[in-house]
Amino acid sequence: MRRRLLMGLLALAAPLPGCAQTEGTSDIAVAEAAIRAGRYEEAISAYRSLVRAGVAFPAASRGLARALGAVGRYEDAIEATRSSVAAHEGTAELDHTLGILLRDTGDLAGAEESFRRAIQVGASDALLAELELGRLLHHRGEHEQAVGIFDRFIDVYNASPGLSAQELAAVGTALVYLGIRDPALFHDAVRAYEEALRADPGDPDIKVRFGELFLAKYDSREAGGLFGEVIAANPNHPGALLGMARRAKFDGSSEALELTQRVLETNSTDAGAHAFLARLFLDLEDVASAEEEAQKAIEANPASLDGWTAMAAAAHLRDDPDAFARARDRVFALDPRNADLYNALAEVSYRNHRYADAVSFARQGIERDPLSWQSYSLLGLNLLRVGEIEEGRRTLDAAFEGDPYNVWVKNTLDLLDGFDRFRETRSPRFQFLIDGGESDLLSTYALGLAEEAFDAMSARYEYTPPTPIRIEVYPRHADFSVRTVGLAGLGALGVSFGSVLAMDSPAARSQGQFNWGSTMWHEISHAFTLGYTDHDVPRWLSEGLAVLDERHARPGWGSDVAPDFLAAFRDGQLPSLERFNYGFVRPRYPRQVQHSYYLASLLCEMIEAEEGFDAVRRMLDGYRDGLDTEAVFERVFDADLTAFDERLERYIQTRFATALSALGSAGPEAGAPDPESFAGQLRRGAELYGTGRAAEAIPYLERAKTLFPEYAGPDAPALMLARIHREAGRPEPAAAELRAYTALNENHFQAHMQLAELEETLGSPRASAAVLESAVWIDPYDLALHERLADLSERTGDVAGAVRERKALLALDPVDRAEALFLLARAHHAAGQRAEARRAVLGALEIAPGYEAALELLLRIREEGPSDGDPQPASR
Amino acid sequence: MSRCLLWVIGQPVVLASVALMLGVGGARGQSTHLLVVSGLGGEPAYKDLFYNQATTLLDAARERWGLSDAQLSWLAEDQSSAPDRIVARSTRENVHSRIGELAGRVDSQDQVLIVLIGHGTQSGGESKINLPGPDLTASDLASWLDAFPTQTVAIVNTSSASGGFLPVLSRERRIVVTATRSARERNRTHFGSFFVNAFSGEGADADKDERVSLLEAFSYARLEVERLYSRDNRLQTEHALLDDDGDGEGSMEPGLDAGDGRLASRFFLAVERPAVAEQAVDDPELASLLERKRELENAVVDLRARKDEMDPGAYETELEALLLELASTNRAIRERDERP
Repeated sequence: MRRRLLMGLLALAAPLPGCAQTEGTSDIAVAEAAIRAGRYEEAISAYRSLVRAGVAFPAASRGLARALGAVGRYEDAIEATRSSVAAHEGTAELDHTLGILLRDTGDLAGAEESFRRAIQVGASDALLAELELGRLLHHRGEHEQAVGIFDRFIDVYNASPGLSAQELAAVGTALVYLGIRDPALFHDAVRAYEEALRADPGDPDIKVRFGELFLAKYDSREAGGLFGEVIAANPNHPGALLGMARRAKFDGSSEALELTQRVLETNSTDAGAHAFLARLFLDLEDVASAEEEAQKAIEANPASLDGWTAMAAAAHLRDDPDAFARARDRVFALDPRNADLYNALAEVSYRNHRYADAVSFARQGIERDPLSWQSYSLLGLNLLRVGEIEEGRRTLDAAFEGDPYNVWVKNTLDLLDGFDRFRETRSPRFQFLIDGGESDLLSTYALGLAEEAFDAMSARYEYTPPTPIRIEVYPRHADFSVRTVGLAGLGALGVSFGSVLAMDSPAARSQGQFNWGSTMWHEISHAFTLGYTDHDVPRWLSEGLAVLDERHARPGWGSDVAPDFLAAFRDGQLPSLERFNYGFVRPRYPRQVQHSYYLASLLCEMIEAEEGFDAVRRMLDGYRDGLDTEAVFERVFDADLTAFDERLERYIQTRFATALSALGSAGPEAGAPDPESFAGQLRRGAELYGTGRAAEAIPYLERAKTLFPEYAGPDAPALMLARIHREAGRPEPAAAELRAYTALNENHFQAHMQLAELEETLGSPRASAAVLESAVWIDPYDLALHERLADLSERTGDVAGAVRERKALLALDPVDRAEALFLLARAHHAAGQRAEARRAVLGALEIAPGYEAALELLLRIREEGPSDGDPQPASR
Repeated sequence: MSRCLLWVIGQPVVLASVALMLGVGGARGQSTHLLVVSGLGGEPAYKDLFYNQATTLLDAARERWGLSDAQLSWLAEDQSSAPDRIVARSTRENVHSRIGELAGRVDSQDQVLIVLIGHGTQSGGESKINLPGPDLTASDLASWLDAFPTQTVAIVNTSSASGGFLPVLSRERRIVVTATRSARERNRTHFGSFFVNAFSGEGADADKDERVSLLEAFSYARLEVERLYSRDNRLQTEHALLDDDGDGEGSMEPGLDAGDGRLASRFFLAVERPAVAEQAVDDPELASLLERKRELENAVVDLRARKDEMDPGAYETELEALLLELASTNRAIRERDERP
């Protein structure tokens, strides 16, 4: 039977008095207030005075050590503590304090000795020393001995009603460790921390530890509340700031870097902060900065597992096996059962698109520590990313059993349960998994486009990735998001794990929000660049090439330039080449991610235009060979990054010269634009049109168009001009405007539909059909679109197109299914596909046996003789 | 595709006999009577919507499905909006008296369709539709409909919160359609517009028998409602139900194979296709062909019912054989009809 805390009702309900030590006006209270408020120098001075005066022992000596430690003066703290010990005849009252200082500076043997002495002698804080001894043993791989120590805390709690706040918190921390084996004990840990805070509501360290528990159990909100309370009282509290930074990373916020740097402003030798900063740099693919920070962590604390772990991860990303082995061996010398190294490596590998590596590392994590649920979770999630669905599911089941709080695992298992409703369709090089409700419809288009993309990119990259490429299409964005990151709320439309892609179906978003054809093309491009480089391509390059590939695929595909991008360029907000990835991973303003995509695509476009696509392939070769960006540019272009930044700036200046000069001092969205600017002309034109003076609006709109011909926003002058011309009965110029507009905007459904109508009016049914085919990639669910396209295809003799559209209409589950089947049969028949026509017309007549037109078609098909694969009807 | 045209390999061919087969007035034997009750609109937009729904349905019933004026009744909020057509204001009392009047003149085997259009609510545990004056409750209607002891009665309540009517009205020989599955679905409904479209427009005649059954109209409206919400990326706030087996439990997807749907599949505005039968009386050969056609159509229906028990290949072979004979018979009917 599980041993649990016997939490008496009285203990839970009755508020405990505040900390007696902080009451009154004693000097120790003044010092304590100063340290809690983050006035560390004042606290140091106050404690030192008390120590010198020989009063308030041992609280003053402990406080002095804490205050000095908080600002990174570890040597001073150790010296002061040892002096106090000497002054008090070798007392054990400071051994717990000394042990912590020794541990934090890497003297683990000295720390253990101190903790053991405090326990042996029975110091007043022996229980706290016992907790630290347990932790030290646990982080040294001696798990069984550590568990024995932690287990005793339950008995201590149950037998000792008068525990102090810090002792109650120690019980909570012990339960956190025990929770690894019995997750139900995390609830008891929460109760112990709550009780500790009732005993001393102002103790910042208890709040930080409590917050860390919440964060470890994936509850960012609760964690943030606790860290925030501490920071409100002490804006410089290193533990709370680091906790908040970890929370920001958890939430994907760009504040993580800044918060960690704030820790280092108070304590420049905080090993934990340096190691965490290193991990943040690794996420940014900034390996050099990561190594620098990892080194600082190790210098501050040579026994820092996090520091050595970050060092190993950096070496792995740098493809330096010797450095990796050194760091790895150091970790295992400190902790032979350390799975966190492999967990970190798995996570860094995942974030750097090395999914197979992530799988391998997570497996090694489980081998090291079979109770590392994080390893199971990382293994399961990354197995799914490389397409190993069944093993991934089994592993996640195991992860969830060990850690039922893991929201990523829970969400992903729920998602996998829903896979039953997905249907698989295949083409020569692709395997599609699409929701059964829309598989027939989307497959009709997706398979052909995917194969086209594969052929185009194979020729372009002179490379073919492993096949089949698996593409999962999710009708609910939340499911796609869970598939990608384990949580809802991801802003992306698609993701590539190499030869496994996932994306939103057009059903996941409102009409006009995205183009599912260009999104698929984009993700397939990633499969090529990731495969080409053995998953060692920087994100900016892979994204830039994917957007550029879109532009080569269809007119209008690949982001059009937005005024705010040009404004950001003009205002110098766009990052230099060296920091391109920051714009993707840690955006500094809301639109920076979109700007980063476009900027990266312009760089790739420039390289292709000026150096040829061969240069792009040579860049990819460089990354595959393990070079970093600086070395790649040196090898391929014989140029440094600064020179290339200048070259890109000139390219953008030239490419958008007109628009940049017409941008005015404020963007089109800002108020009161310069009347001569693009925004000014556009606004005046819109005003005139809005007040019924369409003819007067035309010159302004024409001028706006000339000033910014690439603008494809919803208020584009071309769109307004098209409307004016249509209303005035001038289909030719209206169509010309819409042709220009749809060549820039891939998402505007109505513009496509209006252009299709105009093309038909102008006697160009083929052009009309082509526009409608483009519109299918915006909204494939529009019945009227498919009906028009089917009709146009039939009229223009495009028998294949007619069959495709009739299939699409059938897949849209029409109410009149019999008629849809009959029309499909007729299209098949016209295309000479008599077997398919027969099957379809039988389907129609099965529903509606009296359907005369279908009966006549069936008879006609039979009169024409049997076709291959037709069974002969039984004679009656 | 027009009901009067038959597309044969891309060419429209006028088929006189098919045209004659359309439901026209003067059905022999069984007749269908339609009572439309349109309630309070409140806002002008709803007044217009309810008016248009009612007139569209009544026009279709008369002009397309051949019901005579005597078979049609309309009670509405504002009699002055169409004094020639609205027989009385749609008060609770007038609805009661109109149902009583109708019960007094219908034949024992006739069918009655009552369509309620308006805003629905639930209060005091009672589902209601808002009428001028006191509202009409489900219990009111249930007791008044006892006046039809032998007739098949269909009640279609297109209002919001109409789901509460279903368990109260459910009986043997009774079809109950509600736009919502419970009284808790209180948002405005779109079911009514699509239900009316099923009779006035194209696309609801799923089995191509040139008539629209109540089951076909329900299925059409249900699917179009789903499509509307899906297209607009909105959470669907109305889920229509049909009950016709008297168990008080509505089905969202009724059908011939489900508990609900059989009675509704035989309920039409146009009850028969008498012109064909009348013509056949004078032409024994045509009568024989028509009889054979009916047999074959029934054989297809029977075969379809056994589909799940059969080998797929055998099923398809047998189906095709039946359909080929049906096609030949159909061609013979047409050629006979085209003879001078």
